[in-house]
Amino acid sequence: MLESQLQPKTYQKELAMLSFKGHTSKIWAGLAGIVILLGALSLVISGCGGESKSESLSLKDAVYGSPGAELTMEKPATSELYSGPALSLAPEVNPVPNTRVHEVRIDVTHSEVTVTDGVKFTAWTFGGTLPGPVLHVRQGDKVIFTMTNRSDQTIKLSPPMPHSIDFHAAMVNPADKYREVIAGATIKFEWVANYPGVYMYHCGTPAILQHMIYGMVGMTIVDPKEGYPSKVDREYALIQNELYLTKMKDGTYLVDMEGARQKRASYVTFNGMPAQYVKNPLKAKPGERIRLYVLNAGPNGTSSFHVVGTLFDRVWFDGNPDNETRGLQTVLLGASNGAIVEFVIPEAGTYTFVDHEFADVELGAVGQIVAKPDQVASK
Amino acid sequence: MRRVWPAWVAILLVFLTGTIVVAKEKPHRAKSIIPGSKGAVLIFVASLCPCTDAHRVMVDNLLEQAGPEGIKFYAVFSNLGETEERAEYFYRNLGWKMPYYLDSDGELAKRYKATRTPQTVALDRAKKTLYTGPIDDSNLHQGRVENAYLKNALEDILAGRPVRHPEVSQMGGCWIVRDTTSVPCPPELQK
Repeated sequence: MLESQLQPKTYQKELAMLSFKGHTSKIWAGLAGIVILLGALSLVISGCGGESKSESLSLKDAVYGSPGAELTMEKPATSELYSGPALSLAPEVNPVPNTRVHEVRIDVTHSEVTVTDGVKFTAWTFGGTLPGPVLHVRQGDKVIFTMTNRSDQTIKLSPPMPHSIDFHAAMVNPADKYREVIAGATIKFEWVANYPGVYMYHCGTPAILQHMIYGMVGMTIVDPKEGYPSKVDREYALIQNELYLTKMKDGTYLVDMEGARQKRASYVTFNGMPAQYVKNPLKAKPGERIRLYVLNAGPNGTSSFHVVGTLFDRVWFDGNPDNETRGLQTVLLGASNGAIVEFVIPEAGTYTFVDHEFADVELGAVGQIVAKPDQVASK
Repeated sequence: MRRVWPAWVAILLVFLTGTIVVAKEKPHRAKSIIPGSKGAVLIFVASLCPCTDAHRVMVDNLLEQAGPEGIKFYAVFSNLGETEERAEYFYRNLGWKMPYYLDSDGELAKRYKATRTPQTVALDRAKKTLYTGPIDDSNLHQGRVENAYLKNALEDILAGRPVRHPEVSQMGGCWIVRDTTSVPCPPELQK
């Protein structure tokens, strides 16, 4: 009696059918056996045939390594700090240009960056922005990358210093492509995007922690060669990163390296500013399917990314559709992990996204998507 | 009352000891460079240069090994615009236990031809240069040290033999800025 009270009434019939008593249960058992046999057969076939479907998706036409990097004292012909149609500033994501070879320039510069009201510091940046521009290419595409270290042009802000770039999306010799580029010098190298995904890039010059907390992080998105298996109405890029700052007596802010070593963040942000999308929410319409490219740039903390009021009906861990999970409430991202999350905006309203480690929300890891029927497209 | 005073003395002693420990840990600013019995090491640093941080453990170890042998270590801030607060803050973050020197007029950088941070200069007791160059070459090998230049130089100095590589040209590091109206030109750019 007590047991039947605890079982919701609507499920009692189904539970009885699965109790393996009587004819109904025999039919179910027979069907289950056929399913198991078919499953086993498909496993044997795929095993005998070599690569599975998902492996061939990732590894076909992979290119390992590339010609040696060129390091010159060539000065950039342009004053633009970044250029190339494959680049955009988060949260916007430009479509992948209709070409298989992408010429991309992202220069390093030191510049004053405002974090929030009354808080600004001299950041070291890719392309003059914190985080750096989003690079969007397609699996199998070649990236011809150029970077000038312009830290010699801002000696009033900080001393000229070496910098570098480390693309997690590339498979190349780090000692060559990710080498230190002295102030005033230009590096040029190429790489092929073998795997689809959401990847980090960052400065790899020691002390790497220091370069990263000064702002030298960014996102690369590599679309699958055949495109994503689902269509969406809107997409945004969110890069979570921590800032470690301390206020000096003169009111200026310096990067707090000891705080970073102790993992005591001053701010945790989406796209460089704490809670900026609470003040200026991202836009959507009710019923739309949204795709978020999420990267936890760290450098130290994890991110438990969650959107209040909806569920992720597709999550591709590290942004690769081979790594698909369904129906997630939260996606856990270690430092440098990325993900693509897709969800439906169920109805008009405000959908708050957070790092569900709520200490990080207190430090700024919170934003909102406002869904209205008459919402104007934000891109 | 007689029974109480030993407790007060004990409390006072604990307080004084604590004060001394705190004072020892606080970065100490040196007014001048005074070599030890076997010489001195100057490490040119800058409060906004990340390159020093990568060597903080190596320098700590060298200080521990060579300090008791008579080598005095100084961190020298020679960049224009360094303030005592910034220098002290950076220095405290590094956790080094040696005194630091604020080279406000850039005199030391000029005298010892220091152009980079971190650049090191090892001196004998008479302040004659025995070694000048980087701490090591880890910046060229993704953090792996193939040549521990300063360590080797100190071993030679303490053993009383000539330094095997008295001058190593500095690759990498931040530039020491003494004039914000013109960009300094380090050796690798003078081509």
